Amino acid sequence: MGFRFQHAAMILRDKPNTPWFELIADDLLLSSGRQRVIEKVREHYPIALHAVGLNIAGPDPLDKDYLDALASVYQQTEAAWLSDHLCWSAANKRQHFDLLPFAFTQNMLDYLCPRIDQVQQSLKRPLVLENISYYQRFKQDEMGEWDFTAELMRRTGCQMLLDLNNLWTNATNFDLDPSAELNTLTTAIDAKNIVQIHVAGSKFHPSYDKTGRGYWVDTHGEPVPTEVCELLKATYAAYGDIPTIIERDNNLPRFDELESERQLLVNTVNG
Amino acid sequence: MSAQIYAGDEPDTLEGWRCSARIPKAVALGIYQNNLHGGVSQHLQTHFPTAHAYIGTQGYQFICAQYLKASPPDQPLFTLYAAHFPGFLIDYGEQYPQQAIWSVAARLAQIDFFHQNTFCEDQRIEVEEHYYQLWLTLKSIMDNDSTSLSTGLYQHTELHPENHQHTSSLITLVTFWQNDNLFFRVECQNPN
Repeated sequence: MGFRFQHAAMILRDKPNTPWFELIADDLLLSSGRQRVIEKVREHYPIALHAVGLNIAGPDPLDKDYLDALASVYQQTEAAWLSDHLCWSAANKRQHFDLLPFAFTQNMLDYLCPRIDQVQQSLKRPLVLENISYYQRFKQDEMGEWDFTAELMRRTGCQMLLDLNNLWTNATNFDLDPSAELNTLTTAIDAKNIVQIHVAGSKFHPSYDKTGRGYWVDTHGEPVPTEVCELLKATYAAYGDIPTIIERDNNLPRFDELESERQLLVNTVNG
Repeated sequence: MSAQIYAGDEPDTLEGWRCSARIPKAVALGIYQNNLHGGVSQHLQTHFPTAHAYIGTQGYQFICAQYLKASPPDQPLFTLYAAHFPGFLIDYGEQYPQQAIWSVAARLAQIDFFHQNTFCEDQRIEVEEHYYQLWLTLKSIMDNDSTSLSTGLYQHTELHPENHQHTSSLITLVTFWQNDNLFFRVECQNPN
């Protein structure tokens, strides 16, 4: 489950039967005292860290202060791994607080590899990178997303966090078959390189033009839909079990409701 | 692409984009723009819930857009960006003194930030007692009735900013742990 500080008191009090938590690393980078909460969480649960501000594909040099703080928190918390996103989030020192796409080209592979190496030298562990949702592609694209990701992993030794909702949202918005996309992915990327899975829900926006089909926006504010649940089953069938969390940031329900959703997901996938 | 997302227009200049039939270029750009502007507004609402409830949704979105325009974020940690929001509200209130709501919201935002972002015991903040009492009143309304918040609680006669312009004595709020939860209490009262 994704750990959110709004749920901290309840989790520490009731110690729910959640197998592990993913923590937002950025929440821990300031000396706010949140470390005390995390120490208590760590007494009862394994954790992994998930960052949002690395800006690995951005045009600016990597933020050394941010990277040092990430490495320090990673070491202190003894998290199982640290992930961020295969995207850019700032340009010319102007933050977007969003996860933005880039063209899948040979030049971008050449650009990303030394940056990933720099992060991995700082972390002293492989960096785990998540596929993002996007709402357009680029005419400059020279290869598919999964071939690009596989090549990046081959060159750098980085690993992947597979967000199945992002895969489903992108495929659906581009009128591709999500199952076929997953097949392409599992052909291109070995099981040993997928360390974690995200599932979440997107929000549908109806279209009022002649196409009338509408589109989906990744909001992290909806329950996990049946379609993503089916993709999770197919992923487990292809790869075996992989640590998975429900990612929820908006319309955040009470923790017991999220835990019920997790149990339902486990039962559905196993049933 | 970054410039177009910030600028809020010019989808035609994005010549390198390949879009789907479902999401034309202008719609795709609109999604990214909404993620930026809506995301900043939503995160600021999370950091400053009482100030948001006081101003109301429409006014809050307006002031967040003003903040983003005046001070584009330059660091990856949103909390650092949020930390400067109360100061921006004070400056904005001084710029538009006839709109008393901003200076009241600034004081509420200072308490909100302390409440939302302090996780250590024995942390202190000095605030005017009058605004702390207003903050408590607003919290109580928010806890009991979340349905009327979108229009702005400042519209209640007794909460109107014109009635909250006077200075009062300073008090110190201090944090303490209890049952794995962090609270704050009034530590002492200083003569003004």
